Amino acid sequence: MLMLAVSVGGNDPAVAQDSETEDAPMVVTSDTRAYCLSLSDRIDRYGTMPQEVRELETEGRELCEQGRVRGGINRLRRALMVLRAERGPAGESVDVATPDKNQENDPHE
Amino acid sequence: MTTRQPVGARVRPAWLRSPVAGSPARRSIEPAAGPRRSRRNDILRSASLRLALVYALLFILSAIIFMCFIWWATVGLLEREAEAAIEADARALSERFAEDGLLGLGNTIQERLAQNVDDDAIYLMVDSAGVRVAGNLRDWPHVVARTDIWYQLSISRAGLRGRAELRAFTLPGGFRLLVGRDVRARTILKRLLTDTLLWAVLMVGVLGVSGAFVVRSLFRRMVHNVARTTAAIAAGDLTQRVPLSGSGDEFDRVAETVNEMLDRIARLMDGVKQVSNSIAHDLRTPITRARARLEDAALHATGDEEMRAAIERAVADLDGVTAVFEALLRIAEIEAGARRSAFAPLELSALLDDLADLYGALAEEQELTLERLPSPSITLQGDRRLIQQAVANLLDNAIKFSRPGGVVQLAAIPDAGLVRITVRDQGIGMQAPDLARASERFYRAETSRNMPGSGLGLSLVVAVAHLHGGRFELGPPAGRDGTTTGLEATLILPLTGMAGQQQPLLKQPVPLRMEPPSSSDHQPDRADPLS
Repeated sequence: MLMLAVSVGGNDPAVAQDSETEDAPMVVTSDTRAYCLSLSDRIDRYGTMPQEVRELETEGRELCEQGRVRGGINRLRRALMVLRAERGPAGESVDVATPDKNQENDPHE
Repeated sequence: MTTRQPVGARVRPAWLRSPVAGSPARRSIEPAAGPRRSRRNDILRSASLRLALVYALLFILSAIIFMCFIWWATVGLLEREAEAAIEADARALSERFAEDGLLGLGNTIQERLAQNVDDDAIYLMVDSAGVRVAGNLRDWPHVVARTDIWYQLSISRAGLRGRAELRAFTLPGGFRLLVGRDVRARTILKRLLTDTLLWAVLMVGVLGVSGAFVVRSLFRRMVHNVARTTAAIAAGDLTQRVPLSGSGDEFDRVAETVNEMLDRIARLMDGVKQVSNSIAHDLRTPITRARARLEDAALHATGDEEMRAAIERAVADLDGVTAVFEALLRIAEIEAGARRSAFAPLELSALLDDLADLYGALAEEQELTLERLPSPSITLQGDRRLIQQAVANLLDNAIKFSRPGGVVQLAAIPDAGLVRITVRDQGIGMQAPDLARASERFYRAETSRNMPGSGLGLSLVVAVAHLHGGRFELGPPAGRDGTTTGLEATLILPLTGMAGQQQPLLKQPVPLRMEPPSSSDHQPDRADPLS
C-alpha cells in the first residue's frame, strides 16, 4: 500500500523552480530558539545522562541563548543521537490536529 | 641579362606587361602591395601559425570538455544523491504511515528533525485544509501543486536565504506531505566549482596559447634550419648541410634525407666537372695532334703522298674524337633508360658462346687462352646488343691487361633469380683505390695509362647493368692468395629483366660497334673509346 506518489528510480521527473529574488522564501521553523529549547527539554526527559551528553546539552543551550541558534541546535541534536543510541526514543508524540505554536512565535525568526 | 623570378611569384602575361602597339604608352596602375598586406598574407599562410593555432585550439577544447565532464559529474552526482535521499526518506515515511497512521507519521517526522545532525532535512505535513500538522516549515508553499516533479524553492533559515529541493506526496484523508533537503551547501559547492573551473579554463587558455607559441617557435626553428641551408645552396654554396639535433626525430630524418640528397648532388656535380675536365683533357690531345700533323704537312710536305698520309692520320684522330662523343652519348642514352624498348628474351649461353668464338682468336694472338666455362641454358629479358657490348668490353680489358701465357675465363652462373656473367683474368690487376673509381667516366689507372683506350668501357658496362636492373662488381678473383694477380669482373643481371616497367618508345635503335679491334688497330691513336 503505497499511497505516496513517489517516483522511485523511474523516469527523471522535471524540476520546477521559483524565482530566487521575487518570491518570499519559506521559513524553516527548526532554526529558532524555541525549537532549541524544545530539544533541550527532550534531552532532559531522559533523566540521568552521560557526561558527554550533559556537556553537549549545556553547550547547545548556551549557544542558543547567545543567539547562535543553529550551532546550539546542532549540539543538542548530537546529544540526542548519543542518548537514543544508548537508550532509544523517549516516547514523544505529536498532536496531529494542533500545530507546534512554540515554533511559530520565536522572536528569532 | 635575364632576371630570375623569386619562387612562387606570379608572372603577368606578356599582353599585360607591354603597351599595346600604336596606342599611347600606358602605365599600369595597380594598388601597391605594400609591406603591410604582404606581411599579413605571410602570417595567414604561415604553417607554423596554423600548427600553433590547431594545437592551442585542441588543447583548450580538450580542457573545456574535460572540465565540463567534471562539472556535470560532480554537480549531477550531488543532485542525484539529494534526490535519492529524499525518495528514500519518503519511502520510509510511507511505510511508517502504513503501519502507524498519521500520528506515527507525525512522530517520525519530529524524531527525524530532532536527529538531523546535518541540519538539512525539511518536512511538512498538512491536513486537507492546509493547516500544518508536523514538520519544520510554516506553510505549505503555494507553488507546490504537483507530486510528479521536483521543486527548487527559496527558504529562509535563521534570517539567511537558501535553496531547498522538495517533493510533494499525497496521503489519505486529504493530507499532504512535503519532503526535501536544504541544498545550500550544494549550491555553494556548485558555485565554487563553477568559479574554479572557469578560472581553470582561463589558465588553460593562457597555457594553451603559451604552448602554441612554444610549438610555433620549435617548428620555425626546425624549418628555419632547412630553409637556411637550402637558401645557401641555392645561392651556390654546395658545402652547406642541414644541422641535426641528434634526437633522431622526424625532423632529423628529413634533415638526413636532405643532406643525402645534397651529398649526391655534390657528387654528381663533381662527376660532371670531372667528366668535363676529362673530356677537355682527353679530347684535346687527339685534336691537338691532328692539328699538329696537318700544320706540319702544310709546312713541310714535299708531295701529294706525304700530304695524303698526314690528312689520313688527322682524319683517324678526329674519328677517334667523334667515337668518344658517340660513346658518351650512348652511355647517356643507356642511363636515361631509352633502350628498354629493345628488351626481348635472349638466350645468354648462345650469346656468350659467340663472344668466346670472336675473342678466342684475339686471345690466341696475344698468347692467351680464353676458356668458356660450361653453363646451363639461361634465358633473360634484355637488350642483346647492349649485353654483347658490355661483355665484349670486359673480354677486351681482360685480354688487354693479361700477360702472355695467361688464362681468361668467361662464365655465366645462375644464382637465385640472377645470372652472374664473370670474366676472370690473370693480368696486372688493380689496386683498391683504382677499383673504387674504375667505373667512372674517363678514369684510367696508372698502370693502364700506356694502354689503348679512353676510360669509358666500364662506364658503359655499369650503365648496361643498371639499365637491366642489375649491378657490376669488380675485384680480385675469388680465392686469390698473395702470389697471384688478376681481376674478376662480374655483370649481375636479373633473369626476369625489367619487363614490369614502362618502356619509352624509340624510333630506331642506336647501332653498336661489334667488331673487336684487331691487333693492327691497337694503336694509341685509334683506341676503342668503349674499352
